[in-house]
Amino acid sequence: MRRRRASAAGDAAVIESSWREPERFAVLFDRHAPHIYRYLARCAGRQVADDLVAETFLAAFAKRDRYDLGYADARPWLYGIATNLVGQHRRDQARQHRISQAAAAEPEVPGHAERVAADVTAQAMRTVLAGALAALSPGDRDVLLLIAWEQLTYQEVSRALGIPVGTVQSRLHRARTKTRQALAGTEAAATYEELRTNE
Amino acid sequence: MNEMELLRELAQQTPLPALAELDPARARLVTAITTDPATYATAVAQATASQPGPSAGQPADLLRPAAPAPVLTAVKLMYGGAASTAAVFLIAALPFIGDVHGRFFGHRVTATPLTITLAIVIFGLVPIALWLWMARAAGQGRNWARIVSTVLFVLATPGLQGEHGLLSVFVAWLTWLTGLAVVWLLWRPASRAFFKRYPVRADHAGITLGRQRYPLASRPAMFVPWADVEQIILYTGYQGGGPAPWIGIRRREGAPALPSGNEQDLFCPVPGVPAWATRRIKGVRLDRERLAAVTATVAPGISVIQASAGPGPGVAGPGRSASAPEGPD
Repeated sequence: MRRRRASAAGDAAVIESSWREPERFAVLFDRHAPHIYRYLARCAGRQVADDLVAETFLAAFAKRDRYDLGYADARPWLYGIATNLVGQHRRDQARQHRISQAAAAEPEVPGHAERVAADVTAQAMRTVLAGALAALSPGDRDVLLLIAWEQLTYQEVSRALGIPVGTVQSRLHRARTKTRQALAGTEAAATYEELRTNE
Repeated sequence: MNEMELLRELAQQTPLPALAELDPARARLVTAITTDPATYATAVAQATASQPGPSAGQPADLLRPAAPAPVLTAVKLMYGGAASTAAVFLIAALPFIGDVHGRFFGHRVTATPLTITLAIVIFGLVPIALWLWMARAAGQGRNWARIVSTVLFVLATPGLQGEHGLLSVFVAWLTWLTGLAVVWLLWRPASRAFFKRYPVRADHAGITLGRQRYPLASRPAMFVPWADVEQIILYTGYQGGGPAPWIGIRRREGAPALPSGNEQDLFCPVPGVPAWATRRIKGVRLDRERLAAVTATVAPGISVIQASAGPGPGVAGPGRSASAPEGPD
Protein backbone atom coordinates (compact mmCIF):
# COMPACT_ATOMS: atom_id res chain seq x y z
CA MET A 1 0.00 0.00 0.00
CA ARG A 2 2.84 2.34 0.84
CA ARG A 3 4.51 1.71 -2.49
CA ARG A 4 1.22 2.28 -4.24
CA ARG A 5 0.72 5.56 -2.45
CA ALA A 6 4.23 6.62 -3.45
CA SER A 7 3.58 5.86 -7.10
CA ALA A 8 0.27 7.65 -6.90
CA ALA A 9 2.04 10.77 -5.70
CA GLY A 10 2.88 11.62 -9.31
CA ASP A 11 -0.66 11.21 -10.59
CA ALA A 12 -1.32 14.93 -10.74
CA ALA A 13 1.76 15.46 -12.90
CA VAL A 14 0.65 12.66 -15.21
CA ILE A 15 -2.83 14.11 -15.54
CA GLU A 16 -1.50 17.59 -16.14
CA SER A 17 0.79 16.35 -18.90
CA SER A 18 -2.12 14.40 -20.39
CA TRP A 19 -3.89 17.69 -21.05
CA ARG A 20 -1.39 18.30 -23.83
CA GLU A 21 -0.26 14.74 -24.41
CA PRO A 22 -3.35 12.54 -24.01
CA GLU A 23 -1.44 9.31 -24.39
CA ARG A 24 0.18 10.01 -21.03
CA PHE A 25 -3.12 9.09 -19.43
CA ALA A 26 -2.37 5.45 -20.18
CA VAL A 27 0.21 5.65 -17.38
CA LEU A 28 -2.60 6.25 -14.93
CA PHE A 29 -4.40 3.18 -16.24
CA ASP A 30 -1.33 0.98 -15.87
CA ARG A 31 -0.79 2.32 -12.39
CA HIS A 32 -4.25 1.96 -10.90
CA ALA A 33 -6.48 -0.15 -13.13
CA PRO A 34 -5.77 -3.47 -11.37
CA HIS A 35 -6.85 -2.07 -8.00
CA ILE A 36 -9.85 -0.27 -9.41
CA TYR A 37 -10.80 -3.48 -11.18
CA ARG A 38 -10.53 -5.48 -7.98
CA TYR A 39 -12.68 -2.95 -6.15
CA LEU A 40 -15.29 -3.13 -8.89
CA ALA A 41 -15.15 -6.92 -8.91
CA ARG A 42 -15.75 -6.98 -5.18
CA CYS A 43 -18.64 -4.55 -5.47
CA ALA A 44 -20.35 -5.74 -8.60
CA GLY A 45 -18.80 -8.99 -9.73
CA ARG A 46 -16.09 -9.81 -12.23
CA GLN A 47 -18.20 -9.76 -15.35
CA VAL A 48 -19.48 -6.29 -14.64
CA ALA A 49 -16.04 -5.13 -13.51
CA ASP A 50 -14.63 -5.82 -16.97
CA ASP A 51 -16.89 -3.16 -18.38
CA LEU A 52 -16.93 -0.79 -15.45
CA VAL A 53 -13.16 -0.49 -15.20
CA ALA A 54 -13.08 0.66 -18.82
CA GLU A 55 -15.95 3.06 -18.17
CA THR A 56 -14.17 4.42 -15.11
CA PHE A 57 -11.04 5.34 -17.01
CA LEU A 58 -12.97 6.63 -20.02
CA ALA A 59 -14.93 8.93 -17.73
CA ALA A 60 -11.76 10.00 -15.95
CA PHE A 61 -10.05 10.69 -19.28
CA ALA A 62 -13.01 12.72 -20.50
CA LYS A 63 -12.93 15.02 -17.50
CA ARG A 64 -9.20 15.05 -16.81
CA ASP A 65 -9.07 18.76 -17.57
CA ARG A 66 -11.20 19.37 -14.49
CA TYR A 67 -8.90 17.42 -12.17
CA ASP A 68 -7.71 19.45 -9.17
CA LEU A 69 -3.93 19.32 -9.44
CA GLY A 70 -3.71 20.15 -5.75
CA TYR A 71 -4.28 16.45 -5.11
CA ALA A 72 -1.21 14.47 -6.08
CA ASP A 73 -2.90 11.10 -5.58
CA ALA A 74 -5.64 10.38 -8.13
CA ARG A 75 -6.89 7.21 -6.47
CA PRO A 76 -9.73 8.85 -4.53
CA TRP A 77 -10.85 10.55 -7.73
CA LEU A 78 -10.83 7.23 -9.58
CA TYR A 79 -12.54 5.38 -6.75
CA GLY A 80 -15.18 8.10 -6.68
CA ILE A 81 -15.88 7.63 -10.37
CA ALA A 82 -15.90 3.86 -9.96
CA THR A 83 -18.28 4.10 -7.01
CA ASN A 84 -20.63 6.30 -8.98
CA LEU A 85 -20.59 3.83 -11.84
CA VAL A 86 -21.32 0.95 -9.50
CA GLY A 87 -24.23 2.92 -8.07
CA GLN A 88 -25.48 3.67 -11.54
CA HIS A 89 -25.15 0.02 -12.42
CA ARG A 90 -27.11 -1.01 -9.36
CA ARG A 91 -29.84 1.43 -10.14
CA ASP A 92 -29.96 0.28 -13.72
CA GLN A 93 -30.10 -3.34 -12.81
CA ALA A 94 -32.26 -2.82 -9.74
CA ARG A 95 -30.84 -5.92 -8.26
CA GLN A 96 -29.83 -5.51 -4.68
CA HIS A 97 -28.40 -9.00 -4.47
CA ARG A 98 -25.45 -7.97 -6.64
CA ILE A 99 -23.49 -7.50 -3.43
CA SER A 100 -24.05 -11.13 -2.63
CA GLN A 101 -22.38 -12.16 -5.86
CA ALA A 102 -19.53 -9.79 -5.22
CA ALA A 103 -18.95 -11.02 -1.71
CA ALA A 104 -19.31 -14.63 -2.77
CA ALA A 105 -16.08 -14.25 -4.51
CA GLU A 106 -13.61 -16.31 -6.41
CA PRO A 107 -12.91 -19.53 -4.56
CA GLU A 108 -9.37 -20.52 -3.82
CA VAL A 109 -8.19 -24.08 -4.06
CA PRO A 110 -7.92 -25.40 -0.51
CA GLY A 111 -4.62 -26.91 0.43
CA HIS A 112 -5.63 -28.94 3.45
CA ALA A 113 -8.53 -30.00 5.57
CA GLU A 114 -8.42 -27.02 7.90
CA ARG A 115 -8.51 -24.68 4.99
CA VAL A 116 -11.53 -26.46 3.59
CA ALA A 117 -13.29 -26.14 6.90
CA ALA A 118 -12.34 -22.49 7.12
CA ASP A 119 -13.61 -21.87 3.64
CA VAL A 120 -16.93 -23.51 4.34
CA THR A 121 -17.30 -21.34 7.38
CA ALA A 122 -16.04 -18.30 5.51
CA GLN A 123 -18.66 -18.98 2.87
CA ALA A 124 -21.29 -18.92 5.55
CA MET A 125 -19.81 -15.71 6.86
CA ARG A 126 -19.87 -14.22 3.41
CA THR A 127 -23.54 -14.96 3.16
CA VAL A 128 -24.23 -13.26 6.46
CA LEU A 129 -21.94 -10.40 5.55
CA ALA A 130 -23.53 -10.03 2.16
CA GLY A 131 -26.91 -9.73 3.77
CA ALA A 132 -25.60 -7.13 6.18
CA LEU A 133 -24.03 -5.10 3.37
CA ALA A 134 -27.13 -5.33 1.26
CA ALA A 135 -29.17 -3.97 4.13
CA LEU A 136 -27.00 -0.85 4.34
CA SER A 137 -27.92 2.31 2.53
CA PRO A 138 -25.80 2.88 -0.60
CA GLY A 139 -24.04 5.86 0.97
CA ASP A 140 -23.12 3.97 4.13
CA ARG A 141 -22.02 0.95 2.13
CA ASP A 142 -19.77 2.98 -0.16
CA VAL A 143 -17.98 4.51 2.80
CA LEU A 144 -17.58 1.19 4.56
CA LEU A 145 -16.21 -0.61 1.51
CA LEU A 146 -13.82 2.13 0.46
CA ILE A 147 -12.32 2.14 3.93
CA ALA A 148 -12.42 -1.59 4.65
CA TRP A 149 -11.47 -2.88 1.21
CA GLU A 150 -9.48 -0.11 -0.39
CA GLN A 151 -8.06 1.28 2.85
CA LEU A 152 -8.72 4.88 1.92
CA THR A 153 -8.46 7.48 4.65
CA TYR A 154 -11.41 9.57 5.80
CA GLN A 155 -10.11 12.48 3.77
CA GLU A 156 -9.73 10.34 0.67
CA VAL A 157 -13.22 8.92 0.99
CA SER A 158 -14.50 12.44 1.53
CA ARG A 159 -12.88 13.46 -1.72
CA ALA A 160 -13.98 10.35 -3.59
CA LEU A 161 -17.62 10.68 -2.66
CA GLY A 162 -17.76 14.45 -2.43
CA ILE A 163 -19.02 14.52 1.14
CA PRO A 164 -17.60 16.16 4.29
CA VAL A 165 -15.22 14.20 6.49
CA GLY A 166 -17.73 14.37 9.32
CA THR A 167 -20.30 12.67 7.13
CA VAL A 168 -17.77 9.98 6.27
CA GLN A 169 -17.22 9.32 9.96
CA SER A 170 -20.90 9.21 10.81
CA ARG A 171 -21.69 6.95 7.86
CA LEU A 172 -18.86 4.63 8.75
CA HIS A 173 -19.99 4.46 12.35
CA ARG A 174 -23.53 3.68 11.29
CA ALA A 175 -22.41 1.06 8.77
CA ARG A 176 -20.11 -0.64 11.24
CA THR A 177 -22.76 -0.73 13.91
CA LYS A 178 -25.33 -2.29 11.61
CA THR A 179 -22.84 -4.79 10.23
CA ARG A 180 -21.66 -5.71 13.70
CA GLN A 181 -25.24 -6.24 14.84
CA ALA A 182 -25.97 -8.42 11.85
CA LEU A 183 -22.93 -10.57 12.49
CA ALA A 184 -23.26 -10.76 16.25
CA GLY A 185 -24.55 -14.01 17.60
CA THR A 186 -24.49 -15.87 14.33
CA GLU A 187 -23.19 -19.39 14.54
CA ALA A 188 -21.03 -18.80 11.50
CA ALA A 189 -19.32 -15.88 13.19
CA ALA A 190 -18.53 -17.89 16.27
CA THR A 191 -17.18 -20.82 14.27
CA TYR A 192 -15.14 -18.62 12.03
CA GLU A 193 -13.65 -16.79 14.98
CA GLU A 194 -12.80 -20.07 16.60
CA LEU A 195 -11.08 -21.33 13.48
CA ARG A 196 -9.13 -18.13 13.17
CA THR A 197 -8.02 -18.37 16.77
CA ASN A 198 -6.81 -21.93 16.33
CA GLU A 199 -4.77 -21.19 13.21
CA MET B 1 -11.91 -10.18 14.77
CA ASN B 2 -14.23 -7.24 14.23
CA GLU B 3 -16.37 -6.54 11.19
CA MET B 4 -13.69 -4.44 9.48
CA GLU B 5 -11.08 -7.16 9.81
CA LEU B 6 -13.59 -9.68 8.59
CA LEU B 7 -14.36 -7.57 5.54
CA ARG B 8 -10.67 -7.23 4.75
CA GLU B 9 -10.11 -10.92 5.29
CA LEU B 10 -12.81 -11.83 2.84
CA ALA B 11 -11.74 -9.18 0.38
CA GLN B 12 -8.30 -10.73 0.17
CA GLN B 13 -9.92 -13.63 -1.62
CA THR B 14 -10.45 -11.42 -4.65
CA PRO B 15 -6.98 -11.26 -6.20
CA LEU B 16 -5.62 -8.50 -8.36
CA PRO B 17 -6.23 -9.29 -12.02
CA ALA B 18 -3.45 -10.15 -14.41
CA LEU B 19 -2.62 -7.26 -16.72
CA ALA B 20 -3.75 -9.30 -19.71
CA GLU B 21 -7.24 -9.38 -18.26
CA LEU B 22 -7.35 -5.62 -18.52
CA ASP B 23 -6.30 -5.44 -22.16
CA PRO B 24 -9.84 -4.90 -23.50
CA ALA B 25 -10.38 -2.02 -21.09
CA ARG B 26 -6.99 -0.55 -21.98
CA ALA B 27 -7.79 -0.83 -25.67
CA ARG B 28 -10.96 1.21 -25.15
CA LEU B 29 -8.98 3.88 -23.34
CA VAL B 30 -6.33 3.96 -26.08
CA THR B 31 -9.07 4.40 -28.66
CA ALA B 32 -10.39 7.37 -26.72
CA ILE B 33 -6.89 8.79 -26.41
CA THR B 34 -6.15 8.59 -30.09
CA THR B 35 -9.42 10.25 -31.03
CA ASP B 36 -8.96 13.07 -28.55
CA PRO B 37 -8.53 16.48 -30.24
CA ALA B 38 -5.42 17.17 -28.17
CA THR B 39 -3.77 14.18 -29.79
CA TYR B 40 -4.33 15.75 -33.16
CA ALA B 41 -3.03 19.07 -31.97
CA THR B 42 0.26 17.90 -30.65
CA ALA B 43 1.01 14.40 -31.77
CA VAL B 44 2.14 15.28 -35.21
CA ALA B 45 2.41 18.91 -36.03
CA GLN B 46 1.07 22.39 -35.72
CA ALA B 47 0.30 22.72 -39.38
CA THR B 48 0.62 20.73 -42.50
CA ALA B 49 1.90 20.69 -45.97
CA SER B 50 -1.23 19.53 -47.65
CA GLN B 51 -4.91 20.05 -47.13
CA PRO B 52 -6.84 16.94 -48.00
CA GLY B 53 -9.87 17.86 -50.02
CA PRO B 54 -13.32 16.37 -50.01
CA SER B 55 -12.43 14.16 -52.92
CA ALA B 56 -9.84 12.40 -50.79
CA GLY B 57 -12.60 10.39 -49.19
CA GLN B 58 -12.41 8.63 -45.89
CA PRO B 59 -8.67 9.00 -45.24
CA ALA B 60 -8.98 12.76 -45.47
CA ASP B 61 -11.82 12.73 -42.98
CA LEU B 62 -9.63 10.84 -40.56
CA LEU B 63 -7.11 13.66 -40.62
CA ARG B 64 -9.49 16.00 -38.89
CA PRO B 65 -10.84 15.49 -35.38
CA ALA B 66 -14.53 15.64 -34.66
CA ALA B 67 -15.89 19.16 -34.37
CA PRO B 68 -15.53 20.32 -30.78
CA ALA B 69 -18.42 21.82 -28.85
CA PRO B 70 -17.44 25.48 -29.45
CA VAL B 71 -17.43 24.94 -33.22
CA LEU B 72 -20.77 23.15 -33.15
CA THR B 73 -22.22 26.00 -31.11
CA ALA B 74 -20.72 28.56 -33.48
CA VAL B 75 -22.27 26.82 -36.47
CA LYS B 76 -25.68 26.82 -34.82
CA LEU B 77 -25.29 30.49 -34.00
CA MET B 78 -24.38 31.23 -37.61
CA TYR B 79 -27.57 29.62 -38.79
CA GLY B 80 -29.31 31.71 -36.16
CA GLY B 81 -27.47 34.76 -37.51
CA ALA B 82 -28.82 33.99 -40.95
CA ALA B 83 -32.32 33.95 -39.50
CA SER B 84 -31.89 37.21 -37.62
CA THR B 85 -30.33 38.84 -40.66
CA ALA B 86 -33.40 37.81 -42.58
CA ALA B 87 -35.49 39.40 -39.86
CA VAL B 88 -33.51 42.64 -40.04
CA PHE B 89 -33.89 42.66 -43.76
CA LEU B 90 -37.62 42.13 -43.61
CA ILE B 91 -38.01 44.92 -41.08
CA ALA B 92 -35.92 47.25 -43.17
CA ALA B 93 -37.76 46.23 -46.31
CA LEU B 94 -41.20 46.91 -44.91
CA PRO B 95 -41.15 50.59 -45.97
CA PHE B 96 -40.80 49.39 -49.52
CA ILE B 97 -43.82 47.18 -49.36
CA GLY B 98 -46.82 49.28 -50.16
CA ASP B 99 -48.90 50.63 -47.31
CA VAL B 100 -47.33 48.47 -44.66
CA HIS B 101 -44.70 51.12 -44.03
CA GLY B 102 -47.14 53.49 -42.51
CA ARG B 103 -47.93 51.28 -39.59
CA PHE B 104 -44.29 50.71 -38.66
CA PHE B 105 -42.21 53.67 -39.61
CA GLY B 106 -44.55 56.48 -40.46
CA HIS B 107 -42.83 57.45 -43.70
CA ARG B 108 -42.74 56.22 -47.25
CA VAL B 109 -39.69 55.62 -49.40
CA THR B 110 -40.05 55.86 -53.11
CA ALA B 111 -37.98 53.40 -55.05
CA THR B 112 -37.82 51.97 -58.52
CA PRO B 113 -38.14 48.22 -59.10
CA LEU B 114 -34.43 48.04 -59.99
CA THR B 115 -33.43 49.75 -56.76
CA ILE B 116 -35.65 47.44 -54.80
CA THR B 117 -34.16 44.41 -56.49
CA LEU B 118 -30.61 45.60 -55.81
CA ALA B 119 -31.46 46.38 -52.22
CA ILE B 120 -32.96 42.95 -51.71
CA VAL B 121 -29.89 41.26 -53.14
CA ILE B 122 -27.24 43.41 -51.46
CA PHE B 123 -28.82 43.89 -48.05
CA GLY B 124 -30.83 40.74 -47.84
CA LEU B 125 -29.76 37.73 -49.80
CA VAL B 126 -26.00 38.31 -49.79
CA PRO B 127 -25.63 38.61 -46.00
CA ILE B 128 -27.89 35.61 -45.49
CA ALA B 129 -25.91 33.61 -48.01
CA LEU B 130 -22.68 34.64 -46.30
CA TRP B 131 -23.97 33.43 -42.95
CA LEU B 132 -24.97 30.09 -44.42
CA TRP B 133 -21.76 29.74 -46.39
CA MET B 134 -19.59 30.48 -43.37
CA ALA B 135 -21.61 28.09 -41.22
CA ARG B 136 -21.14 25.28 -43.68
CA ALA B 137 -17.44 25.93 -44.24
CA ALA B 138 -16.66 26.35 -40.54
CA GLY B 139 -18.53 23.17 -39.77
CA GLN B 140 -16.26 21.41 -42.25
CA GLY B 141 -13.16 22.70 -40.51
CA ARG B 142 -12.07 25.17 -43.18
CA ASN B 143 -9.65 27.55 -41.56
CA TRP B 144 -10.33 30.28 -44.09
CA ALA B 145 -13.94 30.26 -42.97
CA ARG B 146 -13.15 31.55 -39.53
CA ILE B 147 -10.81 34.18 -40.96
CA VAL B 148 -13.44 35.37 -43.42
CA SER B 149 -16.07 35.24 -40.71
CA THR B 150 -13.96 37.47 -38.52
CA VAL B 151 -13.32 39.94 -41.32
CA LEU B 152 -17.01 40.09 -42.19
CA PHE B 153 -17.88 40.65 -38.57
CA VAL B 154 -15.48 43.57 -38.36
CA LEU B 155 -16.78 45.04 -41.60
CA ALA B 156 -20.38 44.72 -40.44
CA THR B 157 -19.81 46.49 -37.15
CA PRO B 158 -20.04 50.10 -38.46
CA GLY B 159 -23.39 49.21 -39.99
CA LEU B 160 -24.93 49.19 -36.53
CA GLN B 161 -25.00 52.99 -36.55
CA GLY B 162 -27.23 53.04 -39.60
CA GLU B 163 -30.13 51.29 -37.93
CA HIS B 164 -33.24 53.22 -36.92
CA GLY B 165 -36.30 52.18 -35.05
CA LEU B 166 -36.42 50.24 -31.82
CA LEU B 167 -37.17 46.87 -33.33
CA SER B 168 -34.63 47.26 -36.11
CA VAL B 169 -31.88 48.36 -33.71
CA PHE B 170 -32.68 45.52 -31.35
CA VAL B 171 -32.48 42.85 -34.03
CA ALA B 172 -29.34 44.42 -35.51
CA TRP B 173 -27.60 44.36 -32.15
CA LEU B 174 -28.78 40.83 -31.58
CA THR B 175 -27.25 39.84 -34.90
CA TRP B 176 -24.02 41.65 -34.07
CA LEU B 177 -23.79 39.94 -30.70
CA THR B 178 -24.36 36.62 -32.43
CA GLY B 179 -21.46 37.40 -34.71
CA LEU B 180 -19.31 38.34 -31.75
CA ALA B 181 -20.08 35.02 -30.06
CA VAL B 182 -19.35 33.15 -33.27
CA VAL B 183 -15.95 34.80 -33.67
CA TRP B 184 -15.09 34.14 -30.05
CA LEU B 185 -16.10 30.49 -30.31
CA LEU B 186 -14.23 29.90 -33.55
CA TRP B 187 -11.00 31.23 -32.06
CA ARG B 188 -11.23 29.37 -28.77
CA PRO B 189 -8.19 27.17 -28.02
CA ALA B 190 -10.49 24.15 -28.02
CA SER B 191 -11.40 24.89 -31.64
CA ARG B 192 -7.80 25.20 -32.82
CA ALA B 193 -7.17 21.55 -33.58
CA PHE B 194 -10.31 21.33 -35.68
CA PHE B 195 -9.08 24.05 -38.04
CA LYS B 196 -5.55 22.74 -38.34
CA ARG B 197 -4.35 20.90 -41.38
CA TYR B 198 -2.62 17.62 -40.79
CA PRO B 199 -0.51 15.75 -43.30
CA VAL B 200 -0.44 12.57 -41.26
CA ARG B 201 -2.22 11.02 -38.37
CA ALA B 202 -1.46 7.99 -36.23
CA ASP B 203 -4.32 6.41 -34.35
CA HIS B 204 -5.33 3.06 -32.95
CA ALA B 205 -6.09 1.67 -36.41
CA GLY B 206 -3.11 2.85 -38.41
CA ILE B 207 -1.57 5.81 -40.18
CA THR B 208 -3.49 8.18 -42.39
CA LEU B 209 -1.56 10.18 -44.97
CA GLY B 210 -3.10 13.31 -46.42
CA ARG B 211 -3.27 14.28 -50.06
CA GLN B 212 -0.20 16.03 -51.41
CA ARG B 213 0.10 18.07 -54.56
CA TYR B 214 3.55 18.70 -55.95
CA PRO B 215 4.54 18.60 -59.59
CA LEU B 216 6.77 15.58 -59.13
CA ALA B 217 5.49 14.23 -55.88
CA SER B 218 1.71 14.14 -55.91
CA ARG B 219 0.11 11.56 -53.68
CA PRO B 220 -3.51 10.81 -52.89
CA ALA B 221 -4.82 10.51 -49.36
CA MET B 222 -4.45 7.00 -48.08
CA PHE B 223 -4.71 4.86 -45.00
CA VAL B 224 -2.10 2.29 -43.93
CA PRO B 225 -3.16 -0.14 -41.17
CA TRP B 226 -0.65 -0.94 -38.47
CA ALA B 227 -0.50 -4.53 -39.71
CA ASP B 228 1.22 -3.22 -42.85
CA VAL B 229 3.65 -0.91 -41.04
CA GLU B 230 7.20 -1.99 -40.25
CA GLN B 231 8.74 1.34 -39.32
CA ILE B 232 8.13 5.07 -39.47
CA ILE B 233 10.99 7.07 -40.93
CA LEU B 234 11.61 10.78 -40.59
CA TYR B 235 14.08 12.09 -43.12
CA THR B 236 15.01 15.03 -45.26
CA GLY B 237 13.57 15.03 -48.76
CA TYR B 238 14.12 17.32 -51.71
CA GLN B 239 11.01 16.98 -53.83
CA GLY B 240 8.96 20.08 -54.38
CA GLY B 241 11.74 22.55 -53.53
CA GLY B 242 14.68 22.62 -51.16
CA PRO B 243 15.37 20.33 -48.26
CA ALA B 244 12.36 19.74 -46.06
CA PRO B 245 11.32 17.21 -43.46
CA TRP B 246 9.48 14.21 -44.79
CA ILE B 247 7.83 11.22 -43.21
CA GLY B 248 7.84 7.78 -44.76
CA ILE B 249 6.32 4.45 -43.88
CA ARG B 250 8.33 1.31 -44.32
CA ARG B 251 5.85 -1.40 -45.06
CA ARG B 252 6.04 -5.00 -43.95
CA GLU B 253 6.96 -7.68 -46.39
CA GLY B 254 3.85 -9.22 -47.85
CA ALA B 255 1.72 -6.14 -47.24
CA PRO B 256 -0.78 -5.54 -50.06
CA ALA B 257 0.56 -3.32 -52.81
CA LEU B 258 -0.53 0.30 -52.93
CA PRO B 259 -2.72 1.36 -55.86
CA SER B 260 0.36 2.98 -57.37
CA GLY B 261 3.70 4.46 -56.34
CA ASN B 262 5.10 1.17 -55.04
CA GLU B 263 8.62 1.96 -56.25
CA GLN B 264 11.21 2.92 -53.65
CA ASP B 265 11.05 6.60 -52.75
CA LEU B 266 14.04 8.30 -54.34
CA PHE B 267 15.04 10.38 -51.35
CA CYS B 268 14.23 8.13 -48.42
CA PRO B 269 17.48 6.55 -47.20
CA VAL B 270 15.72 3.52 -45.80
CA PRO B 271 14.76 0.76 -48.24
CA GLY B 272 11.26 -0.59 -48.38
CA VAL B 273 9.54 2.80 -48.38
CA PRO B 274 7.22 3.23 -51.39
CA ALA B 275 7.01 6.67 -52.94
CA TRP B 276 3.32 6.98 -52.20
CA ALA B 277 3.93 6.17 -48.54
CA THR B 278 5.86 9.41 -48.00
CA ARG B 279 4.67 12.92 -47.26
CA ARG B 280 6.36 16.27 -46.96
CA ILE B 281 5.90 18.05 -43.65
CA LYS B 282 5.99 21.56 -44.98
CA GLY B 283 6.46 24.38 -42.51
CA VAL B 284 5.92 21.96 -39.70
CA ARG B 285 7.87 21.05 -36.64
CA LEU B 286 7.10 17.40 -36.39
CA ASP B 287 7.55 16.26 -32.81
CA ARG B 288 9.39 12.99 -33.11
CA GLU B 289 9.13 12.23 -29.40
CA ARG B 290 5.38 12.71 -29.42
CA LEU B 291 4.95 10.64 -32.54
CA ALA B 292 7.06 7.89 -30.99
CA ALA B 293 5.04 8.05 -27.79
CA VAL B 294 1.74 7.81 -29.62
CA THR B 295 3.02 4.96 -31.76
CA ALA B 296 4.33 3.10 -28.73
CA THR B 297 0.93 3.46 -27.11
CA VAL B 298 -1.20 2.31 -30.00
CA ALA B 299 1.20 0.05 -31.89
CA PRO B 300 3.94 -1.32 -29.64
CA GLY B 301 6.90 -2.69 -31.56
CA ILE B 302 6.80 -0.22 -34.42
CA SER B 303 9.70 2.19 -34.15
CA VAL B 304 10.03 5.78 -35.26
CA ILE B 305 13.48 6.57 -36.53
CA GLN B 306 15.29 9.61 -37.82
CA ALA B 307 17.26 8.76 -40.96
CA SER B 308 19.52 11.08 -42.85
CA ALA B 309 20.71 11.26 -46.41
CA GLY B 310 22.39 13.81 -48.57
CA PRO B 311 20.61 15.76 -51.31
CA GLY B 312 19.98 14.11 -54.63
CA PRO B 313 17.84 11.24 -55.71
CA GLY B 314 19.85 8.39 -54.35
CA VAL B 315 23.07 9.57 -55.95
CA ALA B 316 26.25 8.88 -54.08
CA GLY B 317 28.84 11.60 -53.82
CA PRO B 318 30.25 14.16 -51.43
CA GLY B 319 27.63 14.74 -48.81
CA ARG B 320 25.23 12.53 -50.63
CA SER B 321 25.83 9.11 -49.28
CA ALA B 322 22.87 7.61 -47.54
CA SER B 323 23.44 6.88 -43.91
CA ALA B 324 22.02 4.16 -41.78
CA PRO B 325 19.05 4.90 -39.59
CA GLU B 326 19.79 6.19 -36.14
CA GLY B 327 18.06 3.22 -34.65
CA PRO B 328 14.73 2.70 -33.05
CA ASP B 329 13.47 4.93 -30.28
